[in-house]
Amino acid sequence: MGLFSFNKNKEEITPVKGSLKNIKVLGAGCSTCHKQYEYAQAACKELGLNIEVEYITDLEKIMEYGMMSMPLIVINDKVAAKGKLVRTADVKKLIEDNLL
Amino acid sequence: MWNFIQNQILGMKWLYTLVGNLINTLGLDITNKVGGTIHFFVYDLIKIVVLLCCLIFIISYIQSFFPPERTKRIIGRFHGLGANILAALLGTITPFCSCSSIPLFIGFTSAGLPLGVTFSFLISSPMVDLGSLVLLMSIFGWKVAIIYVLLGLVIAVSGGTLIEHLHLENYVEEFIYRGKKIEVEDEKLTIRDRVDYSFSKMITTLEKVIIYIVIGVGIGSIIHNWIPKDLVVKTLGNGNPFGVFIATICGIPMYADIFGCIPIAEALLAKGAKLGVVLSLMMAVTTLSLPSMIMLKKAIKPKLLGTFIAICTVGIICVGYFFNFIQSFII
Repeated sequence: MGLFSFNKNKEEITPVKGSLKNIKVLGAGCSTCHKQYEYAQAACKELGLNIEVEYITDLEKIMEYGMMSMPLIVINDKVAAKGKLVRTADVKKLIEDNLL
Repeated sequence: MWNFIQNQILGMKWLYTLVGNLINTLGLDITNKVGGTIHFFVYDLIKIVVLLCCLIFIISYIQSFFPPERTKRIIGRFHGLGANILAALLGTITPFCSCSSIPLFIGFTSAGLPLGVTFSFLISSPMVDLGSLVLLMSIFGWKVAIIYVLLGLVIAVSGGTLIEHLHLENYVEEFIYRGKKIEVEDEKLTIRDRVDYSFSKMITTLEKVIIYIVIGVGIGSIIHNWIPKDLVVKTLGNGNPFGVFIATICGIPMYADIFGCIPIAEALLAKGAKLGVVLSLMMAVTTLSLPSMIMLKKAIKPKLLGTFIAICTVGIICVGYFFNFIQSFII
């Protein structure tokens, strides 16, 4: 709902060093997981990354990560966050921390 | 001392008076219907939002000590009825989003936890949680809150045990049993981490449920000021022996947050609805929500899902009639 998003991201697109092979958001389909997918998409856009965020709701695929809390953010095949809604600005930090 | 906590801190009677005075100064008369509705609406909205924020923060802090992985490890050390009871208790503490129910179910099952134990957890998690406990205390008093929690746990444990005895393991989708057994180490969290987590959970939850609260308080205000008392008594009070049954059946397909239900329950009770009817409605809405059922259906086959729904429904109806029966003794 964006009630508390005081800092609407109006930053310039900054090029990112290192490479992002893939970024996935895994969820069982609830509104929180969907929001997480949207925040992840916004983060990629703001970082100027031309990469598609994969949104996975297939249970069998989700099970491969063996995690029990949704939503999951997987960056470069590593679980970067689990069980909480990560805002766009923080997703950007996660991406930067997990670049190859 | 306890009355002070009950009335002023949880019930916020001072807020009621303050809002009343404010509205009076704005020129509206709180003794007439419109003024009274606005008075109740503003007071109840502020009260629930403040309670929600404090509760979610404190509870998330406690929950940060019990991530699902740790819960799984703790329960795994116990067997039989003890495991069911522990699962039900931990269900009240562990963070639960309806879309976590499936991964949790998979995780518990692939760790080898018996089906009944997982279901005790799944039943108690949405029905009984620390948030509703404190909220119930503020609205209905501590006796109702404690009994509600105890009965919720009884439904969870007996429901889980019953499912165990029915040997419905074959009704879980096969891919669940093929789940990867990944041992994840508990994250080492600092106090700062926990505070950050609790604060972000508080904000996220508030954003998610504010609409339900506004609608709930709106409906509650209308019931409080506009719905005639004898209509409520006739349908949901002493005038209707089927009140609990109707409330439970109506509650099942509804999806609302418990914080949104509370103002409606509060208003109905004040208008003469029986306690059991109101609590059954709340339990049915929170435990058996359609979105949770849809997600659970991905992991278990219809017969097991049907059994789960049936057990919860019967349990809630029994608890409802029990509360009706003891109402005069505890309120």
